[in-house]
Amino acid sequence: MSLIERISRATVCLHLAPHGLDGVLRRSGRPVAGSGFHLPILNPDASWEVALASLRGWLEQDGGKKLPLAVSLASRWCAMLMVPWSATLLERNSAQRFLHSQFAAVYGDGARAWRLAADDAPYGKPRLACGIDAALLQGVQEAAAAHGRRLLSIEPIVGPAWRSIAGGKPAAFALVEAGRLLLATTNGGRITALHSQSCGAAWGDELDRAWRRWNLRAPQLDAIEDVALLDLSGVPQEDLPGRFQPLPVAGAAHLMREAAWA
Amino acid sequence: MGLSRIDFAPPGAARAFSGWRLALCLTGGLMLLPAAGYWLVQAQETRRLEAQLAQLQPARPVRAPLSASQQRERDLELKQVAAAVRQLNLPVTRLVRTVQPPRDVRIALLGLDLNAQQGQDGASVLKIAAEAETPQDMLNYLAFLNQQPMFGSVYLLKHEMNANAPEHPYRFQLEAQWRQ
Repeated sequence: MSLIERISRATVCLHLAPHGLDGVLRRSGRPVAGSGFHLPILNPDASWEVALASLRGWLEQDGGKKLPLAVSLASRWCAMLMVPWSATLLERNSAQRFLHSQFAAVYGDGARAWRLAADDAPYGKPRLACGIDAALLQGVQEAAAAHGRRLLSIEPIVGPAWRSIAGGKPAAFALVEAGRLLLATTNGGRITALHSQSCGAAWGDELDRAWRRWNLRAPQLDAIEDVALLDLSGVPQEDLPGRFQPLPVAGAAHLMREAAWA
Repeated sequence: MGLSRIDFAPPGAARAFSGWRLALCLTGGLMLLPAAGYWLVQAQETRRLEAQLAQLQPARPVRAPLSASQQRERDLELKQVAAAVRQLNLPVTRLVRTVQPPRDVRIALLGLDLNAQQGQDGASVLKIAAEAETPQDMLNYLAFLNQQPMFGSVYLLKHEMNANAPEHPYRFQLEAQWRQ
């Protein structure tokens, strides 16, 4: 691989959701025009097995250059939690034990079967953690490996979503996907608090109610006037409260950046 | 401060050395190239000057190694020289003064032998030949020498009565170990 190719190497960014697989080719940090695609998935139960099968099918059909993949997963399959700081987070094995105990306390013993990861917030600060079914992660990794693809990253969609708007320094943002909405506050580049819940197709009212309910539990949110809104639901809402400032998004996969440009 | 990022990819998968990181590294490398070239020139110049300095140093004469027989001869010579030096350094005056018997010990000194070999503990050995009128005088002299601080130990080697002489004196030999 030449130096020019190495510098301008392309990455296929994929977003796997219960009802669709989105993808776009990125080169040198920019989406390649006309490379985006959306593959609908018939998946009434929103199970990840069906979505994973669609991903495998797409990988088989895609006769590209075996470009590396960056995959994001829908929030439906990603259990998010802010975990308090603990010195055990500094070492990998003890960090896993600590995260498992934290997730088990909130999500029950089912969390034992998840793989957990946390961000690298500074020493002493609470960390954003995520749990994903280990079988789903293994399935994605095996599917990529089976087709000779290098897997650069597997992330919950909230990560790429936040990084795509972090330049505007919003104090809070809302991410709405089909059947799921997520609210988060940020500070200093970090997600500092998070609320996630399911929602229906008419998510406009639910979003406002969710924000107000969260506000009751966390009065410090009162100081936040504007909430950036990323709508990946595919069902745009009208007459949203003025607090929510919609941001243009081409698609879920467009939120991602290649590892080298993130 | 970095942005929040949670990645489930295997460690190292995303650490691709590419993009702006590679460009930055290459730029840094290019900027360091002149310094590297200057350093190489300096290193070559230092080596050249060291080589010149080594040539200017006077060559040390290399002594050929001795054969085994030559080495033995050399060791023998060294021993002889050491013995001669030891002889020259003998405190003869002190020894003679020390072996002089007091007035009440009636013995006659017949000879002193300073050439006896050294004892095992490195002490020098002095052999004394003397004659006494009575055995008691002989033993008194032995006791007198034993009391001298210069002597470590004094032994009676042999003694005999000279029957041919008119007084039948006792002739005896002593060996005294001494230290400087």
